[in-house]
Amino acid sequence: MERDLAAFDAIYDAYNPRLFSFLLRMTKNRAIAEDLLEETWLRLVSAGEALDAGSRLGPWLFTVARNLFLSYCRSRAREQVYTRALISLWPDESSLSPYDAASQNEFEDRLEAALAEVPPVFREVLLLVGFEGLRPAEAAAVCGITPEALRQRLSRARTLLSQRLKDSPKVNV
Amino acid sequence: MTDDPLLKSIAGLSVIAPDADWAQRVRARCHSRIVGNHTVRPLTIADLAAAVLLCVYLSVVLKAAASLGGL
Repeated sequence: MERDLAAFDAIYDAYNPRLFSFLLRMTKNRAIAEDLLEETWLRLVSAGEALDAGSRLGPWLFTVARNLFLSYCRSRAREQVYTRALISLWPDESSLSPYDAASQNEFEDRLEAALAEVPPVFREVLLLVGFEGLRPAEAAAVCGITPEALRQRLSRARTLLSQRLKDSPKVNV
Repeated sequence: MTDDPLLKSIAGLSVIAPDADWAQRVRARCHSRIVGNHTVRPLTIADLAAAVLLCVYLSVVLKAAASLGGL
């Protein structure tokens, strides 16, 4: 049992911030992201022994988190927009010069805002492939689509994000 | 895909950690669930009653089978 607890802690420490970042960017709401993430972890400890030894844990966790997000969307049937709250969550970048920090934050803010405007179905592929670095086949499995469909969706998502970045106001620093 | 500058910029976005108290609470809840998975549940009255009922049912079935078989 001690080994199980230690193994769980290692997985929890490795994936908790990554899953939270993913869910927060999908839900745009900290409380909802926390609820969905807690349920994701409870699903893991419930299904832990039933998990196939060959299955990769990362994609499995993201699949559960994504399915919980979809269930939430279906039950609420509406999306709340808390972009400002999301932007205020950034950690301090005290090692950067004030100019670099302002410049980097300005770009990150624009990118976050543009990303938040991309529809969820496209946002998730950008996050899974771009932010999480999942292989296309893994991201396709998480989304329940074929690799070819994922490639097309990613291309469309990229176009939508570029367009929104172009449209977003640039702030001089 | 890693050469794509847009995807590269997404990769550079901040990892956002959940609240520390929340993380600790969820960890503790999962720990107790894991410990619960390993704990053998003691027999309850309901378990014993189910076992007695099963025995009675089986004896009735065996008796009926024996009488049908002419034993």
